[in-house]
Amino acid sequence: MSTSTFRFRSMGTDVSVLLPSTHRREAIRVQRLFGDWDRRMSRFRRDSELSRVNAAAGTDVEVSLITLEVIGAALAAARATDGRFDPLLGARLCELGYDRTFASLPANRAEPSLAPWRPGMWRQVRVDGARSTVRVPVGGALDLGGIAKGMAADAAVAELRAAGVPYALVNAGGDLATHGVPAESPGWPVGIDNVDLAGGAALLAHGALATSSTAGRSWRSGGLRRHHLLDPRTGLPVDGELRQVTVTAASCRQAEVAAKVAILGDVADATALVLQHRLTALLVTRDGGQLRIGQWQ
Amino acid sequence: MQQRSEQEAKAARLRRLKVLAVTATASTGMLIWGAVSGTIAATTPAATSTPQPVTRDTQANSGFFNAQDPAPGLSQTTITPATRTGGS
Repeated sequence: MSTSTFRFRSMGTDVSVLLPSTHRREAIRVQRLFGDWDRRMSRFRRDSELSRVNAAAGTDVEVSLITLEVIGAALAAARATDGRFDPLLGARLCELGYDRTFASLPANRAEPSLAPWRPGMWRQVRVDGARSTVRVPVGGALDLGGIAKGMAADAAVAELRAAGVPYALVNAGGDLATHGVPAESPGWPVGIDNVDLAGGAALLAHGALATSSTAGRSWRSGGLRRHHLLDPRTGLPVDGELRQVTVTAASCRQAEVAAKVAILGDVADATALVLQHRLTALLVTRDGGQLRIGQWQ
Repeated sequence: MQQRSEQEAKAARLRRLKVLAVTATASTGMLIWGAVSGTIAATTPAATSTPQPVTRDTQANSGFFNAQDPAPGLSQTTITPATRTGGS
């Protein structure tokens, strides 16, 4: 059984779906799923549910169950990490210049006008599951970018599994989820940018993998280089010991959150986080050093 | 008491790890994968040990990072990558 790769662009990134060649029709279902999630949760679409929630800060806004689930997961991640994962950074990203799709972002933006930073505002987000409503505090805006992509990848492989596809991999611009492996293969060989894997790739036998990096999605404003990974404690782009973190976990939502939190700290912080949750990680330091943490063989 | 000793021992191991990482980086400009990862892997808690909390909100924590979910490990391979991934 040969494997085909189906590529499309959605949620502001390149998405690829690897699955048996005989199941290309199911790949189109994955594309539809991503398109649906993008229409609901993009902060760059004025008519998305997320944009309606952000535009109506201070009031309850009804959203779909899917959007409610993603926001609920993002808030659970924020609680689990004591706010080191923060889904309420959308307004701050706009202040820093990331106020439109990255593809349409000018390389140079004007000096940003930054409001005094108020960390922990995510605790004021209110979710009412019974009424399916969400309310964000005035001055805050949700940005579900990374976790929505990770959860879309999880949802896509779950849908493929339910449809009887024997194996599949969905890679949404660094957020990667799998179901099974191709016949007679020990796993999925995954190349990781900016990493010198002596053998050429890392072999992922099951589960999910996510990478966060300060190297991508950057622009200049006020003469300074900015990138999209903000430290929720300072409201400014992460500027720490680590340049890139790749994490494996049972689900892509977990891997995505762990990678995003790990890159905030130094090597010891990232190591403690990965070991605490029994994950596996590959850290790249600013000077190019590489560290493997957890279950490497 | 025993748990506290384990926590202190782990904290000491992590401090040593950081020193090792900084030293290796400063002296070679590149961390040595095998040696360092072996040190880190040795600090992985045994399956029966109590996970060490890093965050204060451990109750919510268990609801997101479910320790019952088997997280995959990784290995290096010479197989041509089926896909490439960068940072998001």
